[in-house]
Amino acid sequence: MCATSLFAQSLTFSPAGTIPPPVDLIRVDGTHAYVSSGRTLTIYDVSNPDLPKREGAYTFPEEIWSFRVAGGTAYVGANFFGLGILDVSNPAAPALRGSFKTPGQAKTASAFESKIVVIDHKEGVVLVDASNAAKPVSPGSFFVDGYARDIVTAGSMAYAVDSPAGFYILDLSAPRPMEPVSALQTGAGLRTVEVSGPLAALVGNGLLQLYDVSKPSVPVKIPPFKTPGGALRAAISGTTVYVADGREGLQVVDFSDRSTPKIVGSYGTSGVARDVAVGGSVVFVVVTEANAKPQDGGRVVILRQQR
Amino acid sequence: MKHVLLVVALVFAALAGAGAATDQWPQFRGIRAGLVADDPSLPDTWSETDNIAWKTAIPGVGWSSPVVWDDHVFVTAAIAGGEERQPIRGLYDPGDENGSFKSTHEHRWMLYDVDFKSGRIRWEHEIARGIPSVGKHIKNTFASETPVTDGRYVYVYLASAGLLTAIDLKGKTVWTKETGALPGSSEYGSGSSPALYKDRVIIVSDNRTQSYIASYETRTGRELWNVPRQESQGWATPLVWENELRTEIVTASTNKVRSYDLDGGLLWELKGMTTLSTPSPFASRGLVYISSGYPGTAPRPVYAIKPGASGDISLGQDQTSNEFVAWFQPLLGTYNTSALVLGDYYYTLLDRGFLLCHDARTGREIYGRQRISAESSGFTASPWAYNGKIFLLSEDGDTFVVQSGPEFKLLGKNSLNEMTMATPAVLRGSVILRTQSKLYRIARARK
Repeated sequence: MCATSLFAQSLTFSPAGTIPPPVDLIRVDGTHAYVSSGRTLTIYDVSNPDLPKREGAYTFPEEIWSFRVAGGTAYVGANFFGLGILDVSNPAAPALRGSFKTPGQAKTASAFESKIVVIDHKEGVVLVDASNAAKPVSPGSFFVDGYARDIVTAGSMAYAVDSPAGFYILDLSAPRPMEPVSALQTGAGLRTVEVSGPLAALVGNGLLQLYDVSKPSVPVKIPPFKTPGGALRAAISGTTVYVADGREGLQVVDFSDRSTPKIVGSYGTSGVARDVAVGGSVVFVVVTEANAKPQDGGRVVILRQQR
Repeated sequence: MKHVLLVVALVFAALAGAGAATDQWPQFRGIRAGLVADDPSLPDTWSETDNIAWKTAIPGVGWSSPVVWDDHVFVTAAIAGGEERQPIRGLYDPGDENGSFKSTHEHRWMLYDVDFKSGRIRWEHEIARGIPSVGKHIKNTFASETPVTDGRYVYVYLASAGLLTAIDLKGKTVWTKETGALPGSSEYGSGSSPALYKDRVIIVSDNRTQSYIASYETRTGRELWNVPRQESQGWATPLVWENELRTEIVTASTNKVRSYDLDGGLLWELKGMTTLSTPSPFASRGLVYISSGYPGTAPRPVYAIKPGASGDISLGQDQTSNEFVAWFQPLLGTYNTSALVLGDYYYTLLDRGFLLCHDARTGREIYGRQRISAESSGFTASPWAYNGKIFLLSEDGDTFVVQSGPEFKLLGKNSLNEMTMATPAVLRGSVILRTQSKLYRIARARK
């Protein structure tokens, strides 16, 4: 029996527009969607979800592993090029404000004020002070034993994961920000982390693993949740987690009752759902063809959600 | 009279052999797993121009180590007939590509004999030629197995060419055994070197077709035995462990550590390794040390094993020792480097540039992760030691010199400014160090 049929569907989705291939990853900030493919970050105006409009693009010297967008700036992990600090305040003409070469491959980055934390394959978490964006410096780093994978900031707190199992919380406002507030070994094969309010959503080995991080020094594990397709990435809004669930398309899990999370919506995609982003009542799903390789890139299916 | 002469000759040969044994470097990491007898003539510092007795360009590439017998320095290499992808320094995430690729160029698998004194290439021998049928990781080479020599022949195992061969010291093929080029499950290429024990050469081939360990007669190449293994890939070199109770062959791989008697009979086995198993087992002061540590998985174990085990000696859940496992550390294993035991201490060189120190008898931590250099890209070559110093060769070609003992102290750095992943040979006042394109003999300059 399919998991989605066990519960009443409280969210429905209707297709709006699409963003054409190739797309690897997507982030949404305000009325704009930011998509990466290979070395290029492209910006779309999605204020009208039916007709996304391409505005501008920026090509890095090396492959974009992942990125985050906040306050008119994209923080990009551009492989051996390092951290790219991209000014996207003018979407038609994104401009590189600064960069910082980390010791290994830069994977992604996130910021708190002028402090940027970069995931580096060799080093772990590298702190970059971009007070002078043109000349960023690194005051320190935090080594992780495994393969550092992802990081996201929420306020001054940074949440990082590594494979196989590390989950780390750092306080970037602390005098020693690279000493984690907490570090624990959790579910295997961690790949991504997203945070909304007191909830952190970790994805790895197809599982969705949530933590209550309202006390960052003592994250509380919520029982893992298995979506029908195997989670690849997730986005979180409040207590609702949107899961790019592979061949099972989009799955939406409600964690308002943490003891009994349930699927409250789904949308079947024609291919493999690989990434997801949420902007208000609009959901963006990156979908690749069923037989495509992960690196082939997909298109973005834009969905309106209704309760 | 004839008998007397024969006896005298035999005694002389035995003495010469005994004396020579410590003066040779016949295999990967030498005969003492990277430890070199103290010798004040060995160099502590060098550069591309300082304390260099000679440097010789070696055509092709190979991360195999040099081995040395008398005046012969042997190195293998694979020469590509076209432009190949260059290896990338440091721990490298190839992403969805997996890092494996197949070459489309014809390769020539070579053995070079370099004169120890002058660095002149005495002879070169083409062992095989063809387009490799197996893939390899971008950082690997098609000549990563270190040859082994008994002073009569050089035994070269080239899994990517699918052969084991014996070549005499004049460069002539004595025998060749076809082993088949059998790729591992990740198609990362090969690296497990042959081991030598008396009149037999031993190889481990862990691959996705039919893994096995086999023993061959050194004089003829005749297969003495061949035992299947339940493995799909591995890079660790087997260890012939002559312990107080017996001589056995210890192998490390992904699924299990296994030890065999000299006829291929399984003596004991141990579960609990990591996905990719590269560090080679080695013995020191009555224990054999085994590790594996692919960073993306856990556990990344180190085991210290006592002699005399039989059957399954795997640790139970939450166990850190048992009758034959003297100690176990769950997250100390390295990705590529093999560890070093010097005196009472077990030194771990993490690939990402940290040195750790533990008590070799108990596994107790002496000091935790010490950053060797923030600038270094990574470490693959295994450490070596002499004169109370530990030498750590980075992929950048920088050798960091660290004081041995319970406190970490960095003494210096010697740069050759070229990538390397090969572990050097050290003997007779010289470090024979291989970079991507060159072979160096590093020795104190005579004043």
